[in-house]
Amino acid sequence: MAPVIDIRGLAIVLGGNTILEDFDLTVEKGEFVAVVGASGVGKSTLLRIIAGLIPAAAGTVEVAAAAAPDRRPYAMVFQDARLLPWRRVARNVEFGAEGLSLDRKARRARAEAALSLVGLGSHGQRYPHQLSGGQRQRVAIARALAVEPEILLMDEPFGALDAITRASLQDELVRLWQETGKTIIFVTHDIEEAVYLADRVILLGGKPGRIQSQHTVAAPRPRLRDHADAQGLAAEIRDNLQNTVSDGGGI
Amino acid sequence: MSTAPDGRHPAPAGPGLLRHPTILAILGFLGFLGIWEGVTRFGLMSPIFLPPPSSLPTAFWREVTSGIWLDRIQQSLDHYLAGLVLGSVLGIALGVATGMSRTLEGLTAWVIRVLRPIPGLAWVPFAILWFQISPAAATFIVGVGVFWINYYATLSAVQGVDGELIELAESFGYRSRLVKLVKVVLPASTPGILSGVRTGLGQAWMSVVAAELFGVAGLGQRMNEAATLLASDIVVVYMLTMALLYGLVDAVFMLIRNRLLAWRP
Repeated sequence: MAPVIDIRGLAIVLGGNTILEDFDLTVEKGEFVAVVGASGVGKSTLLRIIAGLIPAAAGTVEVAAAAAPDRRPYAMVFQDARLLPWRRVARNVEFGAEGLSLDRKARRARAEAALSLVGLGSHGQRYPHQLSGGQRQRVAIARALAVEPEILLMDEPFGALDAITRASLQDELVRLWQETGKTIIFVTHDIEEAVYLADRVILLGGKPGRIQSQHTVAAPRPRLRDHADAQGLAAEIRDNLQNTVSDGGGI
Repeated sequence: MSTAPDGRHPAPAGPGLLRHPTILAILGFLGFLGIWEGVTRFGLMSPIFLPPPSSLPTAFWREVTSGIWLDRIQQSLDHYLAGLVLGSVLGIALGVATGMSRTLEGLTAWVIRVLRPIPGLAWVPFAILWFQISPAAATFIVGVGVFWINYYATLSAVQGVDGELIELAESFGYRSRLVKLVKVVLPASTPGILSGVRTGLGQAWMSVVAAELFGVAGLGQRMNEAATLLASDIVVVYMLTMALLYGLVDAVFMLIRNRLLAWRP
Protein backbone atom coordinates (compact mmCIF):
# COMPACT_ATOMS: atom_id res chain seq x y z
CA MET A 1 0.00 0.00 0.00
CA ALA A 2 1.19 3.51 -0.74
CA PRO A 3 2.21 5.49 2.34
CA VAL A 4 -0.06 8.35 3.40
CA ILE A 5 2.89 10.33 4.74
CA ASP A 6 6.25 10.19 3.03
CA ILE A 7 9.05 12.30 4.49
CA ARG A 8 12.45 12.25 2.83
CA GLY A 9 15.67 14.01 3.76
CA LEU A 10 13.84 16.46 5.97
CA ALA A 11 15.79 19.12 7.83
CA ILE A 12 14.25 21.69 10.17
CA VAL A 13 16.08 24.78 11.29
CA LEU A 14 14.42 27.04 13.86
CA GLY A 15 16.12 30.20 15.06
CA GLY A 16 19.50 28.98 13.83
CA ASN A 17 19.21 25.60 15.57
CA THR A 18 18.97 22.46 13.48
CA ILE A 19 16.16 20.50 15.09
CA LEU A 20 15.89 17.56 12.71
CA GLU A 21 18.34 16.55 10.01
CA ASP A 22 18.33 13.98 7.23
CA PHE A 23 15.05 12.64 8.50
CA ASP A 24 13.03 9.95 6.69
CA LEU A 25 9.66 8.59 7.76
CA THR A 26 6.82 6.81 6.01
CA VAL A 27 3.45 6.16 7.57
CA GLU A 28 0.90 3.78 6.10
CA LYS A 29 -2.78 4.63 5.78
CA GLY A 30 -4.63 3.69 8.94
CA GLU A 31 -1.46 3.22 10.94
CA PHE A 32 -1.17 4.36 14.56
CA VAL A 33 2.35 5.69 15.06
CA ALA A 34 3.64 7.00 18.36
CA VAL A 35 6.66 9.30 18.53
CA VAL A 36 8.63 9.40 21.78
CA GLY A 37 11.87 11.04 22.80
CA ALA A 38 13.45 13.46 25.23
CA SER A 39 12.06 16.99 25.48
CA GLY A 40 13.33 19.34 22.84
CA VAL A 41 14.24 16.59 20.40
CA GLY A 42 11.74 17.84 17.83
CA LYS A 43 8.68 15.65 18.33
CA SER A 44 6.19 18.53 18.25
CA THR A 45 8.17 20.23 15.50
CA LEU A 46 7.74 17.13 13.36
CA LEU A 47 3.95 17.38 13.71
CA ARG A 48 3.99 21.08 12.83
CA ILE A 49 6.01 20.31 9.72
CA ILE A 50 3.48 17.72 8.59
CA ALA A 51 0.69 20.21 9.28
CA GLY A 52 2.53 22.83 7.24
CA LEU A 53 2.67 25.24 10.19
CA ILE A 54 6.44 25.71 9.83
CA PRO A 55 8.55 25.41 6.69
CA ALA A 56 11.16 22.72 6.11
CA ALA A 57 14.75 23.81 5.54
CA ALA A 58 15.40 20.85 3.25
CA GLY A 59 13.73 17.65 2.09
CA THR A 60 10.18 16.81 1.13
CA VAL A 61 7.03 16.07 3.07
CA GLU A 62 4.37 14.41 0.99
CA VAL A 63 0.92 13.95 2.45
CA ALA A 64 -1.10 11.73 0.14
CA ALA A 65 -4.47 12.45 1.68
CA ALA A 66 -7.54 12.58 -0.53
CA ALA A 67 -8.08 16.19 -1.54
CA ALA A 68 -11.73 17.11 -1.16
CA PRO A 69 -13.29 20.54 -0.60
CA ASP A 70 -15.29 19.29 2.36
CA ARG A 71 -12.43 17.58 4.20
CA ARG A 72 -9.00 18.49 5.46
CA PRO A 73 -6.02 16.19 4.97
CA TYR A 74 -5.04 16.42 8.63
CA ALA A 75 -6.18 17.96 11.90
CA MET A 76 -4.22 18.69 15.05
CA VAL A 77 -4.99 18.05 18.69
CA PHE A 78 -2.77 19.91 21.13
CA GLN A 79 -1.78 19.23 24.72
CA ASP A 80 -4.05 21.99 25.97
CA ALA A 81 -7.48 21.75 24.42
CA ARG A 82 -7.30 25.29 22.95
CA LEU A 83 -11.04 25.74 22.90
CA LEU A 84 -12.31 29.22 22.09
CA PRO A 85 -13.85 30.37 25.38
CA TRP A 86 -16.42 32.61 23.67
CA ARG A 87 -17.92 29.80 21.65
CA ARG A 88 -20.26 27.16 22.97
CA VAL A 89 -19.03 23.58 22.73
CA ALA A 90 -20.96 22.82 19.53
CA ARG A 91 -19.61 25.97 17.85
CA ASN A 92 -16.10 25.06 18.95
CA VAL A 93 -16.48 21.72 17.22
CA GLU A 94 -17.58 23.54 14.07
CA PHE A 95 -14.55 25.85 14.16
CA GLY A 96 -12.36 23.92 11.73
CA ALA A 97 -15.24 22.85 9.53
CA GLU A 98 -16.19 26.48 8.88
CA GLY A 99 -13.35 26.69 6.39
CA LEU A 100 -14.68 23.82 4.29
CA SER A 101 -17.27 23.99 1.57
CA LEU A 102 -20.14 22.72 3.65
CA ASP A 103 -23.47 24.39 4.18
CA ARG A 104 -24.43 25.28 7.69
CA LYS A 105 -26.77 22.34 8.07
CA ALA A 106 -24.17 19.79 7.03
CA ARG A 107 -21.63 21.43 9.30
CA ARG A 108 -24.00 21.29 12.27
CA ALA A 109 -24.72 17.65 11.58
CA ARG A 110 -21.04 16.82 11.42
CA ALA A 111 -20.30 18.62 14.66
CA GLU A 112 -23.15 16.83 16.36
CA ALA A 113 -21.94 13.45 15.12
CA ALA A 114 -18.38 14.19 16.21
CA LEU A 115 -19.56 15.27 19.65
CA SER A 116 -21.56 12.10 20.15
CA LEU A 117 -18.58 10.08 18.97
CA VAL A 118 -16.56 11.44 21.91
CA GLY A 119 -19.50 10.93 24.28
CA LEU A 120 -20.43 14.60 24.73
CA GLY A 121 -23.57 14.67 22.58
CA SER A 122 -25.55 16.43 25.32
CA HIS A 123 -22.95 19.11 26.09
CA GLY A 124 -23.16 21.15 22.90
CA GLN A 125 -24.73 24.21 24.49
CA ARG A 126 -22.21 24.55 27.31
CA TYR A 127 -19.26 26.88 27.39
CA PRO A 128 -15.73 25.46 27.65
CA HIS A 129 -15.26 26.76 31.19
CA GLN A 130 -18.17 24.58 32.28
CA LEU A 131 -16.33 21.39 31.28
CA SER A 132 -13.69 19.30 33.04
CA GLY A 133 -10.18 18.98 31.61
CA GLY A 134 -10.95 15.57 30.13
CA GLN A 135 -14.18 16.82 28.55
CA ARG A 136 -12.38 19.79 27.02
CA GLN A 137 -9.84 17.46 25.45
CA ARG A 138 -12.69 15.36 24.06
CA VAL A 139 -14.16 18.47 22.49
CA ALA A 140 -10.77 19.19 20.92
CA ILE A 141 -10.77 15.68 19.46
CA ALA A 142 -14.32 16.14 18.17
CA ARG A 143 -13.28 19.44 16.57
CA ALA A 144 -10.47 17.60 14.78
CA LEU A 145 -12.81 14.79 13.67
CA ALA A 146 -15.37 17.29 12.33
CA VAL A 147 -13.10 18.19 9.40
CA GLU A 148 -12.99 14.46 8.55
CA PRO A 149 -9.21 14.38 8.31
CA GLU A 150 -7.27 11.52 6.84
CA ILE A 151 -4.57 12.04 9.48
CA LEU A 152 -4.84 13.02 13.13
CA LEU A 153 -1.75 14.78 14.45
CA MET A 154 -1.79 14.58 18.24
CA ASP A 155 0.74 16.52 20.31
CA GLU A 156 0.84 15.02 23.82
CA PRO A 157 -2.94 15.29 23.90
CA PHE A 158 -3.36 13.56 27.26
CA GLY A 159 -0.23 14.93 28.89
CA ALA A 160 -2.05 17.43 31.08
CA LEU A 161 -4.75 15.05 32.34
CA ASP A 162 -4.94 13.07 35.57
CA ALA A 163 -4.13 9.35 35.38
CA ILE A 164 -7.72 8.07 35.46
CA THR A 165 -8.98 10.49 32.81
CA ARG A 166 -5.92 9.78 30.70
CA ALA A 167 -6.52 6.02 30.79
CA SER A 168 -10.16 6.38 29.75
CA LEU A 169 -9.31 8.80 26.94
CA GLN A 170 -6.61 6.43 25.70
CA ASP A 171 -9.15 3.64 25.43
CA GLU A 172 -11.59 5.97 23.74
CA LEU A 173 -8.98 7.06 21.23
CA VAL A 174 -8.25 3.43 20.31
CA ARG A 175 -11.97 2.84 19.84
CA LEU A 176 -12.28 5.98 17.66
CA TRP A 177 -9.28 4.92 15.63
CA GLN A 178 -10.74 1.49 15.04
CA GLU A 179 -14.15 2.91 14.14
CA THR A 180 -12.91 5.63 11.79
CA GLY A 181 -9.74 4.07 10.33
CA LYS A 182 -7.80 7.34 10.64
CA THR A 183 -4.05 7.50 10.43
CA ILE A 184 -2.74 8.78 13.77
CA ILE A 185 0.61 10.29 14.65
CA PHE A 186 0.75 10.56 18.39
CA VAL A 187 3.54 12.46 20.14
CA THR A 188 4.06 11.62 23.79
CA HIS A 189 6.80 11.56 26.41
CA ASP A 190 5.11 8.60 28.11
CA ILE A 191 6.62 5.37 26.77
CA GLU A 192 3.95 3.14 28.36
CA GLU A 193 1.28 5.22 26.65
CA ALA A 194 3.06 4.88 23.31
CA VAL A 195 3.38 1.10 23.65
CA TYR A 196 -0.23 0.74 24.80
CA LEU A 197 -1.69 2.76 21.92
CA ALA A 198 0.45 2.43 18.83
CA ASP A 199 1.24 -0.10 16.12
CA ARG A 200 4.70 1.34 15.85
CA VAL A 201 6.78 3.42 18.24
CA ILE A 202 9.45 5.75 16.90
CA LEU A 203 12.16 6.95 19.24
CA LEU A 204 13.72 10.28 18.33
CA GLY A 205 17.08 11.23 19.78
CA GLY A 206 20.31 13.05 19.25
CA LYS A 207 21.07 16.59 18.32
CA PRO A 208 20.05 17.29 15.62
CA GLY A 209 17.32 14.75 16.14
CA ARG A 210 16.87 11.65 14.06
CA ILE A 211 15.20 8.30 14.44
CA GLN A 212 17.13 6.29 17.04
CA SER A 213 15.03 3.16 16.85
CA GLN A 214 11.66 1.91 15.65
CA HIS A 215 9.63 -0.71 17.44
CA THR A 216 6.65 -2.61 16.14
CA VAL A 217 4.11 -3.33 18.82
CA ALA A 218 2.84 -6.80 18.02
CA ALA A 219 0.44 -7.16 20.96
CA PRO A 220 -3.10 -7.99 19.73
CA ARG A 221 -5.98 -5.63 20.48
CA PRO A 222 -7.76 -5.07 22.77
CA ARG A 223 -4.58 -4.75 24.75
CA LEU A 224 -3.89 -5.25 28.41
CA ARG A 225 -2.08 -2.46 30.20
CA ASP A 226 0.15 -4.76 32.27
CA HIS A 227 1.00 -7.23 29.51
CA ALA A 228 4.53 -8.67 30.05
CA ASP A 229 5.54 -8.19 26.37
CA ALA A 230 4.47 -4.59 26.46
CA GLN A 231 6.43 -3.98 29.63
CA GLY A 232 9.48 -5.61 28.06
CA LEU A 233 9.17 -3.41 24.97
CA ALA A 234 8.74 -0.29 27.08
CA ALA A 235 11.88 -1.19 29.02
CA GLU A 236 13.80 -1.68 25.79
CA ILE A 237 12.70 1.72 24.46
CA ARG A 238 13.58 3.34 27.75
CA ASP A 239 17.08 1.83 27.57
CA ASN A 240 17.51 3.23 24.09
CA LEU A 241 16.31 6.59 25.27
CA GLN A 242 18.86 6.56 28.09
CA ASN A 243 21.57 5.80 25.56
CA THR A 244 20.60 8.65 23.28
CA VAL A 245 20.74 10.98 26.24
CA SER A 246 24.11 9.74 27.54
CA ASP A 247 25.52 9.80 24.00
CA GLY A 248 25.33 13.54 24.08
CA GLY A 249 21.81 14.07 22.81
CA GLY A 250 20.46 16.70 25.13
CA ILE A 251 17.35 16.60 27.17
CA MET B 1 -14.88 32.87 64.45
CA SER B 2 -16.74 31.60 67.52
CA THR B 3 -19.64 29.27 67.02
CA ALA B 4 -22.71 28.97 69.19
CA PRO B 5 -23.31 25.56 70.84
CA ASP B 6 -26.12 24.74 68.42
CA GLY B 7 -23.66 24.96 65.54
CA ARG B 8 -24.88 28.24 64.06
CA HIS B 9 -22.89 31.41 63.87
CA PRO B 10 -23.96 34.04 66.39
CA ALA B 11 -26.14 36.83 65.04
CA PRO B 12 -24.20 40.04 64.29
CA ALA B 13 -24.25 42.50 67.13
CA GLY B 14 -26.44 45.64 66.91
CA PRO B 15 -29.62 46.31 64.96
CA GLY B 16 -29.46 44.25 61.76
CA LEU B 17 -31.50 46.61 59.58
CA LEU B 18 -29.02 49.46 60.03
CA ARG B 19 -26.23 47.33 58.60
CA HIS B 20 -27.96 46.77 55.29
CA PRO B 21 -25.85 48.46 52.59
CA THR B 22 -28.84 50.12 50.89
CA ILE B 23 -30.12 51.53 54.18
CA LEU B 24 -26.64 52.78 55.01
CA ALA B 25 -26.33 54.39 51.58
CA ILE B 26 -29.69 56.17 51.97
CA LEU B 27 -28.79 57.35 55.47
CA GLY B 28 -25.45 58.66 54.24
CA PHE B 29 -27.07 60.47 51.34
CA LEU B 30 -29.72 62.10 53.52
CA GLY B 31 -26.99 63.16 55.92
CA PHE B 32 -25.08 64.72 53.04
CA LEU B 33 -28.16 66.68 51.91
CA GLY B 34 -28.84 67.70 55.52
CA ILE B 35 -25.36 69.13 56.06
CA TRP B 36 -25.49 70.87 52.69
CA GLU B 37 -28.86 72.43 53.52
CA GLY B 38 -27.67 73.32 57.02
CA VAL B 39 -24.61 75.19 55.83
CA THR B 40 -26.76 77.78 54.04
CA ARG B 41 -29.70 77.74 56.50
CA PHE B 42 -27.42 78.66 59.41
CA GLY B 43 -25.77 81.36 57.39
CA LEU B 44 -22.34 79.71 57.12
CA MET B 45 -22.38 80.33 53.35
CA SER B 46 -24.42 82.58 51.14
CA PRO B 47 -26.92 80.75 48.90
CA ILE B 48 -25.22 82.42 45.95
CA PHE B 49 -22.02 80.56 46.64
CA LEU B 50 -23.72 77.36 47.69
CA PRO B 51 -27.38 76.98 46.73
CA PRO B 52 -29.25 74.78 49.25
CA PRO B 53 -30.70 71.53 47.88
CA SER B 54 -34.22 72.76 48.68
CA SER B 55 -33.79 75.48 46.04
CA LEU B 56 -32.94 73.01 43.31
CA PRO B 57 -36.41 71.65 42.35
CA THR B 58 -37.63 75.16 41.49
CA ALA B 59 -34.51 75.91 39.46
CA PHE B 60 -34.80 72.57 37.75
CA TRP B 61 -38.46 73.15 36.89
CA ARG B 62 -37.68 76.58 35.45
CA GLU B 63 -35.07 75.08 33.15
CA VAL B 64 -37.38 72.26 32.08
CA THR B 65 -40.43 74.41 31.37
CA SER B 66 -38.41 76.94 29.39
CA GLY B 67 -37.25 74.03 27.18
CA ILE B 68 -33.61 74.88 27.74
CA TRP B 69 -32.87 71.76 29.77
CA LEU B 70 -33.87 69.26 27.09
CA ASP B 71 -32.26 71.37 24.37
CA ARG B 72 -28.92 71.46 26.09
CA ILE B 73 -29.05 67.77 26.90
CA GLN B 74 -29.71 67.00 23.29
CA GLN B 75 -26.88 69.21 22.09
CA SER B 76 -24.41 67.73 24.57
CA LEU B 77 -25.48 64.19 23.77
CA ASP B 78 -24.93 64.94 20.10
CA HIS B 79 -21.33 66.03 20.73
CA TYR B 80 -20.81 63.21 23.15
CA LEU B 81 -22.11 60.41 20.98
CA ALA B 82 -20.53 61.68 17.77
CA GLY B 83 -17.13 62.16 19.42
CA LEU B 84 -17.42 58.86 21.24
CA VAL B 85 -18.34 56.84 18.17
CA LEU B 86 -15.78 58.54 15.94
CA GLY B 87 -12.94 58.33 18.48
CA SER B 88 -13.76 54.74 19.48
CA VAL B 89 -14.13 53.40 15.95
CA LEU B 90 -10.91 55.04 14.74
CA GLY B 91 -9.00 54.12 17.90
CA ILE B 92 -10.12 50.50 17.75
CA ALA B 93 -9.41 50.27 14.04
CA LEU B 94 -5.89 51.67 14.36
CA GLY B 95 -5.28 49.55 17.48
CA VAL B 96 -6.28 46.37 15.65
CA ALA B 97 -4.22 47.27 12.59
CA THR B 98 -1.03 48.09 14.52
CA GLY B 99 -1.60 45.12 16.80
CA MET B 100 -1.64 42.79 13.83
CA SER B 101 1.09 44.35 11.72
CA ARG B 102 4.66 44.73 12.90
CA THR B 103 5.30 47.06 9.95
CA LEU B 104 2.50 49.42 10.87
CA GLU B 105 3.53 49.31 14.53
CA GLY B 106 7.06 50.29 13.53
CA LEU B 107 5.91 53.04 11.17
CA THR B 108 3.63 54.66 13.73
CA ALA B 109 5.88 54.23 16.78
CA TRP B 110 7.42 57.71 16.82
CA VAL B 111 4.39 59.54 15.51
CA ILE B 112 2.39 58.11 18.38
CA ARG B 113 5.12 58.87 20.88
CA VAL B 114 4.94 62.52 19.87
CA LEU B 115 1.16 62.91 19.64
CA ARG B 116 0.10 60.73 22.55
CA PRO B 117 1.23 62.95 25.47
CA ILE B 118 -0.72 65.97 24.17
CA PRO B 119 -3.79 66.34 26.38
CA GLY B 120 -7.09 66.36 24.53
CA LEU B 121 -7.83 69.90 25.71
CA ALA B 122 -4.58 71.16 24.19
CA TRP B 123 -6.29 70.62 20.85
CA VAL B 124 -8.85 73.34 21.62
CA PRO B 125 -7.01 76.09 19.69
CA PHE B 126 -6.89 73.92 16.61
CA ALA B 127 -10.44 72.76 17.08
CA ILE B 128 -11.50 76.41 17.00
CA LEU B 129 -9.22 77.23 14.05
CA TRP B 130 -10.49 74.34 12.00
CA PHE B 131 -14.13 74.18 13.03
CA GLN B 132 -14.81 77.55 14.73
CA ILE B 133 -17.10 77.45 17.76
CA SER B 134 -19.31 74.72 16.37
CA PRO B 135 -20.61 71.26 17.27
CA ALA B 136 -17.86 69.84 15.05
CA ALA B 137 -15.23 71.45 17.28
CA ALA B 138 -16.72 69.85 20.39
CA THR B 139 -16.97 66.50 18.62
CA PHE B 140 -13.33 66.78 17.60
CA ILE B 141 -12.11 67.46 21.14
CA VAL B 142 -14.18 64.62 22.55
CA GLY B 143 -12.99 62.31 19.80
CA VAL B 144 -9.28 62.99 20.33
CA GLY B 145 -9.39 61.93 23.99
CA VAL B 146 -11.49 58.85 23.29
CA PHE B 147 -9.28 57.86 20.38
CA TRP B 148 -6.14 57.38 22.46
CA ILE B 149 -7.88 55.42 25.19
CA ASN B 150 -9.36 53.03 22.66
CA TYR B 151 -6.19 52.81 20.64
CA TYR B 152 -4.10 51.67 23.61
CA ALA B 153 -6.72 49.36 25.07
CA THR B 154 -7.22 47.69 21.69
CA LEU B 155 -3.53 47.46 20.89
CA SER B 156 -2.73 45.71 24.15
CA ALA B 157 -5.80 43.44 23.86
CA VAL B 158 -4.82 42.40 20.33
CA GLN B 159 -1.17 41.87 21.21
CA GLY B 160 -2.26 39.86 24.23
CA VAL B 161 -4.25 37.33 22.22
CA ASP B 162 -2.99 33.84 23.00
CA GLY B 163 -0.60 32.82 20.23
CA GLU B 164 -1.70 29.22 20.69
CA LEU B 165 -5.19 30.13 19.49
CA ILE B 166 -3.70 31.70 16.38
CA GLU B 167 -1.69 28.52 15.79
CA LEU B 168 -4.88 26.51 16.26
CA ALA B 169 -6.57 28.57 13.55
CA GLU B 170 -3.59 28.06 11.25
CA SER B 171 -3.65 24.32 11.88
CA PHE B 172 -7.17 24.29 10.45
CA GLY B 173 -5.97 26.10 7.37
CA TYR B 174 -7.00 29.64 8.32
CA ARG B 175 -3.95 31.43 6.97
CA SER B 176 -5.22 34.84 5.87
CA ARG B 177 -4.98 37.69 8.38
CA LEU B 178 -8.55 38.70 7.80
CA VAL B 179 -9.90 35.26 8.66
CA LYS B 180 -7.71 35.02 11.75
CA LEU B 181 -8.88 38.51 12.73
CA VAL B 182 -12.56 37.61 12.48
CA LYS B 183 -12.38 34.12 13.92
CA VAL B 184 -9.87 34.55 16.73
CA VAL B 185 -8.29 37.96 17.28
CA LEU B 186 -11.41 40.13 17.49
CA PRO B 187 -13.49 37.87 19.72
CA ALA B 188 -10.49 37.13 21.94
CA SER B 189 -9.74 40.81 22.42
CA THR B 190 -13.34 41.95 22.87
CA PRO B 191 -13.11 42.10 26.69
CA GLY B 192 -10.05 44.37 26.49
CA ILE B 193 -11.55 46.52 23.75
CA LEU B 194 -14.80 46.97 25.68
CA SER B 195 -13.00 48.02 28.84
CA GLY B 196 -11.29 50.69 26.73
CA VAL B 197 -14.66 51.82 25.39
CA ARG B 198 -15.98 52.06 28.93
CA THR B 199 -13.08 54.21 30.08
CA GLY B 200 -13.77 56.33 27.00
CA LEU B 201 -17.39 56.82 28.06
CA GLY B 202 -16.24 58.63 31.19
CA GLN B 203 -13.40 60.53 29.55
CA ALA B 204 -15.68 61.73 26.73
CA TRP B 205 -18.13 63.16 29.21
CA MET B 206 -15.42 65.27 30.78
CA SER B 207 -14.30 66.47 27.38
CA VAL B 208 -17.85 67.42 26.40
CA VAL B 209 -18.18 69.75 29.34
CA ALA B 210 -14.72 71.21 28.82
CA ALA B 211 -15.31 71.74 25.09
CA GLU B 212 -18.63 73.46 25.75
CA LEU B 213 -17.12 75.82 28.30
CA PHE B 214 -15.54 77.46 25.28
CA GLY B 215 -18.95 78.34 23.98
CA VAL B 216 -20.33 75.44 21.92
CA ALA B 217 -23.99 75.15 22.97
CA GLY B 218 -24.69 72.39 25.46
CA LEU B 219 -24.69 71.57 29.16
CA GLY B 220 -21.24 73.02 29.81
CA GLN B 221 -22.01 76.23 27.99
CA ARG B 222 -25.31 76.63 29.89
CA MET B 223 -23.45 76.08 33.17
CA ASN B 224 -20.93 78.73 32.27
CA GLU B 225 -23.70 81.11 31.29
CA ALA B 226 -25.54 80.52 34.59
CA ALA B 227 -22.32 80.98 36.56
CA THR B 228 -21.65 84.39 35.04
CA LEU B 229 -25.20 85.40 36.10
CA LEU B 230 -24.49 84.05 39.60
CA ALA B 231 -27.38 81.61 39.14
CA SER B 232 -25.51 78.94 41.05
CA ASP B 233 -28.67 76.87 41.62
CA ILE B 234 -28.83 76.34 37.86
CA VAL B 235 -25.16 75.36 37.81
CA VAL B 236 -25.89 72.65 40.38
CA VAL B 237 -28.92 71.47 38.38
CA TYR B 238 -26.63 70.88 35.38
CA MET B 239 -23.94 69.26 37.48
CA LEU B 240 -26.50 66.75 38.69
CA THR B 241 -27.85 66.34 35.16
CA MET B 242 -24.38 65.32 34.02
CA ALA B 243 -24.05 62.79 36.80
CA LEU B 244 -27.44 61.35 35.86
CA LEU B 245 -26.69 61.17 32.13
CA TYR B 246 -23.31 59.58 32.69
CA GLY B 247 -24.89 57.02 35.02
CA LEU B 248 -27.52 56.19 32.40
CA VAL B 249 -25.04 55.85 29.55
CA ASP B 250 -22.76 53.66 31.65
CA ALA B 251 -25.66 51.45 32.75
CA VAL B 252 -26.83 50.95 29.17
CA PHE B 253 -23.28 50.18 28.12
CA MET B 254 -22.87 47.61 30.88
CA LEU B 255 -26.07 45.88 29.76
CA ILE B 256 -24.72 45.58 26.22
CA ARG B 257 -21.27 44.54 27.43
CA ASN B 258 -22.64 41.82 29.68
CA ARG B 259 -24.61 40.46 26.77
CA LEU B 260 -21.56 40.41 24.52
CA LEU B 261 -19.43 38.80 27.20
CA ALA B 262 -22.03 36.33 28.45
CA TRP B 263 -19.56 33.53 27.74
CA ARG B 264 -17.28 34.63 30.53
CA PRO B 265 -17.39 32.58 33.74
